[in-house]
Amino acid sequence: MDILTILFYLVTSVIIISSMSLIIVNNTVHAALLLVLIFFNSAILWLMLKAEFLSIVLVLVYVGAVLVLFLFVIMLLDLPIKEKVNQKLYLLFSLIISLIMFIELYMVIFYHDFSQVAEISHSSEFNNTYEIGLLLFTKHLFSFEITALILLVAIIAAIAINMTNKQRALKQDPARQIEETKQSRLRIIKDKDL
Amino acid sequence: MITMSHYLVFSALLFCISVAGIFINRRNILLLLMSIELMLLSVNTNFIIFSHYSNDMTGQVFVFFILAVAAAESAIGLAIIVSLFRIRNSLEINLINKLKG
Amino acid sequence: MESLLLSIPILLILSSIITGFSSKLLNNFYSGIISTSLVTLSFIFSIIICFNIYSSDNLILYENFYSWISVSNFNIGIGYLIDKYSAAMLVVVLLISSVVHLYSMSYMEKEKEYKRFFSYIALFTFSMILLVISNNLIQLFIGWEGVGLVSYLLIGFFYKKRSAIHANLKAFLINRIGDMFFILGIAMIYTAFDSFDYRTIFLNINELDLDNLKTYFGLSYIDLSCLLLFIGAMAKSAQIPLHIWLPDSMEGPTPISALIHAATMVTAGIFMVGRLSPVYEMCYITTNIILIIGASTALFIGLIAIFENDIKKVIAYSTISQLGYMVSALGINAYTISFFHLYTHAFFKALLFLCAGSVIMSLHHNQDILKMGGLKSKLPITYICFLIGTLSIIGFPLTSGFFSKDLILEVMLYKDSTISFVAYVMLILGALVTTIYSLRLLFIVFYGDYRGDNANSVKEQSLIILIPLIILALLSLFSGYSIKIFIDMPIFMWSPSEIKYQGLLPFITHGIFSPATLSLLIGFYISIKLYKEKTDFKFLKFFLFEKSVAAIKSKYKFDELFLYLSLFMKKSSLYFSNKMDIALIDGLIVNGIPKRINILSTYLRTISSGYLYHYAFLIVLSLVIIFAVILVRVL
Repeated sequence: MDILTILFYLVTSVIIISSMSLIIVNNTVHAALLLVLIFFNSAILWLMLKAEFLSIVLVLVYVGAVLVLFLFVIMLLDLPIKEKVNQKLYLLFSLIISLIMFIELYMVIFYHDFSQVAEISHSSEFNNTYEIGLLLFTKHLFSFEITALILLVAIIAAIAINMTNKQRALKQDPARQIEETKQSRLRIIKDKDL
Repeated sequence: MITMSHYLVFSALLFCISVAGIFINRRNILLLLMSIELMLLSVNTNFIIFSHYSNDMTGQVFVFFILAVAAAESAIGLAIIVSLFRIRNSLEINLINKLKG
Repeated sequence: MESLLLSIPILLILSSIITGFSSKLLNNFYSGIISTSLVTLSFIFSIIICFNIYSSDNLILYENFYSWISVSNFNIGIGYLIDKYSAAMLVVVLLISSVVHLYSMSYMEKEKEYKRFFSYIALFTFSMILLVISNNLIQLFIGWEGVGLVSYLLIGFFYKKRSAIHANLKAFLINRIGDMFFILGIAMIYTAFDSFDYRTIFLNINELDLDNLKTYFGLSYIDLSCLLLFIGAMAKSAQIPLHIWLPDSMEGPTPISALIHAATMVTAGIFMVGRLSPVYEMCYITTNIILIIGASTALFIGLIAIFENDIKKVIAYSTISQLGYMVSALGINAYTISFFHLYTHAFFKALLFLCAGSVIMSLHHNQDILKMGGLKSKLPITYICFLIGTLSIIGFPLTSGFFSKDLILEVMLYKDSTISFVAYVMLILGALVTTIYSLRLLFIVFYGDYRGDNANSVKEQSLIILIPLIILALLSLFSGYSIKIFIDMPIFMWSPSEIKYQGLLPFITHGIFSPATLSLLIGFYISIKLYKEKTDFKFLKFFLFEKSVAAIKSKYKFDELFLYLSLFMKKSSLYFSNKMDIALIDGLIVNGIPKRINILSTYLRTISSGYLYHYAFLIVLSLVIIFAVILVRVL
């Protein structure tokens, strides 16, 4: 058993266990941190698959940006940690469904017998980043630009959704305060009317 | 020896766990979003596996795009969650049943 | 000539519209004048057309001037087909109609709804003209229905009278029964010939492949379609058992009775059969059925008239009986002979009705003959006219009825088959019955002593009433001499008559020495004994005779039969409405399906909880299922 095999099993078991705990934990902060762990381990797995550029991107973009955003939101909203409700029935159902799904996927994988597919080894000059860049800026240039546009739209949308209505905020209007008189604020009622 | 099947089984398992996560979860909409991220991760892993074993860089280019779109998606998703929280003061999925006519 | 022909229906509908919609623009008198003059004008046009048709040898006016509905091979046109047959009919209808118009001007004078009446009778004539000049079955049917509709309106003219409303409803419903069969007959004819057009039908009738057509209930295709058409004619022309509406139609004003009975309504059935005679020539069984129905109608309905006491109803029953003669003639394929009787009958029947109207008017709307009597001296002109009409209807030698009735009896013998001999005997007996009831009416109304009230106020009516009577009386006397025209008359291009006609004089001498004259003499004897001298025949008072008299007096219980049938239908439809409509259709299908859907949806509704994770679960579940299906197919 070589080192790569040991590494594979280590990494995958960490990912599986932490993803399992992610879906059942109560605390969102814990969940986010578990997600960080999963992404780091995935980055290692991707490195093993010789996708160096993407594994770095995963760490930088996902762990560095998206998950930090998650943590910010959690912090900002200050969610209360509540007791777990009884949901054993749902748990059972979802486990059964996922199990069936896994079995189906497993059947597909072993029906095709992917274990016989040979690994292609590249020379030491092979540059993963260079190859991706080449494809990205030649063949998929248009898609690349569209992706940029999508990100722009996402930025605008994120801002637009959270634009608060100014009327709702309580603010003082000095101009109106000055204009107020005694008559407009006070009404004198005679005692006999009561 | 680790073959392609090992990787594929792993990614299938990850996908199934995250699918289960979507409907096990009924407390917090943030966890839902995280499950989706996890799903995307397993899909991306699949892309990379095939890209690696069939020696085709296009798969990795596609993963790049997916990462970008996923980032955009989670940004918007979080924005929605924030505004939802403002309105309802809670992120419990149990309370979000406006879809019922 | 085409424009003259087309102007006839246009003038009539114009007259109907002017009188019907003029509101206060025209007063009653002028609208009557306009209506009468328009009808008279169209009568003059018809005379010109008829003259032209008869002066040439084989002139047939045919045109399809308007295509109404045209869908691939299915064509319905509006057009005309005028041959000698329909030209003569045109003249008869318009003559009677204009006479009735003239008469009505005086008769309806005191009615408030004078203009409505004129509008109706013009429309009535229009419908009949549409029917007569038609060149296809659909136009014929439109006219047919129009006649039915206007008769409904006219019988119920006094719509505040309960009995009138019931009578017109009865007439309409009975006619509906006939119309239903009539439509089926038209459909069968269309299926066989692929056309509604008379010319196409008549020209193709010999090429029709009779062996390939289906037979139903032992009747050949043509037999059945002719029978269906004839059932329609039975309702219109009041043959047993669909005759029951005609006596009740006497609820309408008297001029209407004249119009219905002489020219427009009841003759439509006879005319239709004659018009389609080339098709009826192909029948074997149906003609026998027609013969039996006609002969039994002539005899048995005539018997009812003997015991009827309403002056108009007696004449109404006599109409049914005379129509029986015409139908019998149709049953032996003697269409023009039948038409000859229709022609003479139109005059003397209109005469009788208008005379009756005159009598009724003089007696201040009393119709009960038991309260009349001795009117001979009080109403001399009416008496003479009524006498002429009566002599005509009983076939007194040298009157018009003599020629037509004798001709029918002669051709009946000439036919030489068992059924036609039976029919001949029935018709001879019918002639005897006709003599009895006609003379009974004459003796009771005009002889003896006056039995009503206000004897002094009874006097002749105005000239406008009398002129039509005189015109019709002259026609009743002399119209029979045109016998040769009818014997030689071809229908479309065929000349169906095979009678060896040897001239007027031999015919008259032959007619006088025939069994018909014998029955006439017996009838004279019996009715003089019974009704003039009021002899009491002791030997008649045996049990069986009184039983049959009771049966006749109850009008053979046809009304009760129809009542029973309709009650039965009502009950069964109620039953089916409960079982089928309410229980099955409403309960199980219309309301049942939504109810079951509702029950089902209460279960299904729980799926749509509104919770996101439920939807996600369903999406994944269906994904798994789809995936499994694909796997099963692939692996």
